[in-house]
Amino acid sequence: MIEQIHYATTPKYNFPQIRENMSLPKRFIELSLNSMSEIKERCFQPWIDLSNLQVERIEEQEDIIEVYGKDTLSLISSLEPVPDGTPIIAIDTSSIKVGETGSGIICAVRGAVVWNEKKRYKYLRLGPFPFHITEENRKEILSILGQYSPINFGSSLFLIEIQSRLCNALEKWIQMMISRSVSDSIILWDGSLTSKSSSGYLDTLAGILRNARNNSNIVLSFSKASTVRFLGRRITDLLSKHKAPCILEIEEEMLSLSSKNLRLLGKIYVARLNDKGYTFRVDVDRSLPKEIQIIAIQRLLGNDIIFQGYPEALRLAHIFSTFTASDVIGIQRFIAREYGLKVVTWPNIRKALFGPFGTGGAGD
Amino acid sequence: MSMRLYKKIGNTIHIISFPDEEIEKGGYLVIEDKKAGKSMIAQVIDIQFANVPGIMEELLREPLIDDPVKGEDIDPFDITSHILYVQDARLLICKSYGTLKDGRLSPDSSWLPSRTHSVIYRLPIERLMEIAGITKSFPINLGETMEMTPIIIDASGLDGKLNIITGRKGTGKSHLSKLLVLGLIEHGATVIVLDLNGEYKNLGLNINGEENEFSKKIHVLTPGENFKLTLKEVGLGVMMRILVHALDLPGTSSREFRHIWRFLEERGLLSLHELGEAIRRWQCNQQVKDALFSRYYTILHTNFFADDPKESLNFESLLREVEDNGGGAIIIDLSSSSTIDRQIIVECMLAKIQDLLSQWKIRAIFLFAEEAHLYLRETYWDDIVTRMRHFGVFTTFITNQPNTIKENIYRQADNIFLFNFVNEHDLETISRAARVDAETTISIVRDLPPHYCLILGEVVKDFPIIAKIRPLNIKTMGETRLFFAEKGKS
Repeated sequence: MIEQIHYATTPKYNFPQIRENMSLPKRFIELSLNSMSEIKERCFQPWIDLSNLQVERIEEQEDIIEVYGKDTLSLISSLEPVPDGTPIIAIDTSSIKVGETGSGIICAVRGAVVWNEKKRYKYLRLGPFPFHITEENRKEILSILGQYSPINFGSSLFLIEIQSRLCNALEKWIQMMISRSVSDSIILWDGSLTSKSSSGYLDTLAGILRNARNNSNIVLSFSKASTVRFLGRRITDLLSKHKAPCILEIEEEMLSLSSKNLRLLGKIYVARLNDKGYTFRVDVDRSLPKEIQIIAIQRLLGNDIIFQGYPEALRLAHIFSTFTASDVIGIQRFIAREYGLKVVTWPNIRKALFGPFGTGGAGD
Repeated sequence: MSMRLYKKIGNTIHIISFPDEEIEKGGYLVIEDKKAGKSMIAQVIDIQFANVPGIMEELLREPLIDDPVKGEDIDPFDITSHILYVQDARLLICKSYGTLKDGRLSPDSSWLPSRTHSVIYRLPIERLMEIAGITKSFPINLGETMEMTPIIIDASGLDGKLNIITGRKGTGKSHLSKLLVLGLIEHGATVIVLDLNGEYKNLGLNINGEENEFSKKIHVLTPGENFKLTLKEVGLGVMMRILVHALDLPGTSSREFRHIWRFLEERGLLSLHELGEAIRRWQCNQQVKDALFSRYYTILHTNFFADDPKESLNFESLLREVEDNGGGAIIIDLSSSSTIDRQIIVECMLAKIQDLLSQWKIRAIFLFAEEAHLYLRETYWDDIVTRMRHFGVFTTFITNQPNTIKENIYRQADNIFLFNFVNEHDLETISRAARVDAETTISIVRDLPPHYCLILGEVVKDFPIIAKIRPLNIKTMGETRLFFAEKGKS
């Protein structure tokens, strides 16, 4: 059943009271402190490898979704921007490995919220939170993350995956806080609104979307890389020659989910928001009526800058959460000073054995 | 201090420093390698941002619109402060000036201090001056260092030396020059100032126009007024130099003039009037006669030469008097003289000084020459830095056009006082000074504020030191007269 929601005619600005509920950051800080306290005066090898070790979060592994029946794809090409002052709020998180110890890895996690207030962007950044992840403390970490990053304890995870779980948890917490604390807004996420039906993550995601709806918010989720295919081609390629702004609506009946246990919590659209931009898969909370979903995209067009087909607020959220090399050096400096770590360089076996051919293979 | 040694290429050293370390361009550092038991002394010649990776990305964290993004960080660990600290890391470009081992300084810069365990700290200029053995037997207080400690040079560092003071207009060259003049006469030296703009005339008066402690030692000579010479005092040799070098008298005419001069001298008739008459009567080619007459009238119109011995100044006596009275300055006020008159006066005076020195009638002279290219003939420059120096003329050139001083003069200069320059051409010229490498000179001089000068050479034992020149309690005349300031007052 589609829940009835009420949209105020004049959106009232009431942005984020995120500080009101700080339960997760408190637990995050405790977890960070506890994990880091184990490494006092130990050896530490700093890392700066931005290309390999920066992860926003590990998405729920989404299988390929095939679309059948091109005739039934409906193109909505006359999208008029609605500049009604609707607040646009974007959320993104990021994590990075900053070093290794004798017993594990040290990573840092950071989240960012960007919103457009009176045509000016503002941001709120949370973190960075450093964590020392080891074989010994990973279960403890996962249990503390609880509802924000549910996981089957039976499955074994690489330490690097724990890092992405931490990132996930922070992101879900920020999404939860924003969905509860703002109203009449469009909330932009990075990724898709899908989940495996067996994972506890589905309930978390559904809960966040419900909270958002209850406060008359609409969640739009942008995927930079989509797994939706039509005749083996990426669905985003279908709109490449159409005049923007336009969207392609994909009915759920047209989808053949190769993995039966995949649950879609969003209605999938393919959106080409400006002529010079890229085409993205955009998931809109499927519990909302179709008209509202389309108006949400029009409001996004009318109230945010669209650069290369991507909302500026979401681009900024990504930029503000992402770690640069100087961030990493600063974090390493903090860790080394705060915990009295001895900076060492352990020999790279791969490099020692294979010389210039000893590239890649991290983690094996 | 948490400075770290990063790189050493030749005598250039790169050091990483952080924002809380107060390091200024021109300051000195000690790179102490305890294991090696020695330290390297280096001067910071430039401060740049360290090439911290990711800075570009940080700066690009801006939206597509013009307004910067404002926001807030919830950063319970205060890691942002560490990130900002790293982003503001600086790279100090330094030049090595020697090694300190067992308290003794040597010019060796060839060894490599350890990157891992060297300790780097600031070396106060005052301490550097002690280490370098900068003596203060005849102190001249120039002002203060960047560290607000006094900078005192030894006047003996100027003795027997060739000095250059140069810098852009209005940076304080003449001020330093006056300070050196007063410093020298305080220690009994005889100083002659070729005062082009009449700005040294009041060295004997304090700022309120009252006589100061130097007033009895300052002798202002105005050519044509209280500075005149008889032809006898000038002598044929000096007169010939004036005619040939200042007035370009051709060879044949010079020969005839010599005959005329001797003719008059033998008859005891050497005077301006008789000289004119003799030229008129002299049996010679009309062109020669015309050439002699034109020079004669030029000499006559200088008003510098007198027939009456009472009108004439006994320059030798004046110099001796100055020496006997424990030093002093003779200011030759050239401000009212025309270009040609200036050349004649300077030519005459230098020849006279050379004569007196060669005959050991006076000890030595410190000559301060402002914008010397305006009155010093081409051949005199080399003469001054070589032959005349041996006789005892120790020159200080003061100019705001560094290219007017020849490259070989820069190379031979013992002390150079550099004020600010921004013009690339000027910087290139001064970088030819042999006392320091071009990179140091250009990098430091470009950023010197007014009244700050970079001292190079003997007086600072070849450790370039930045000094803020102290004010003088003397009545200044060097300030440019302003139209609007006067209008404002009225």
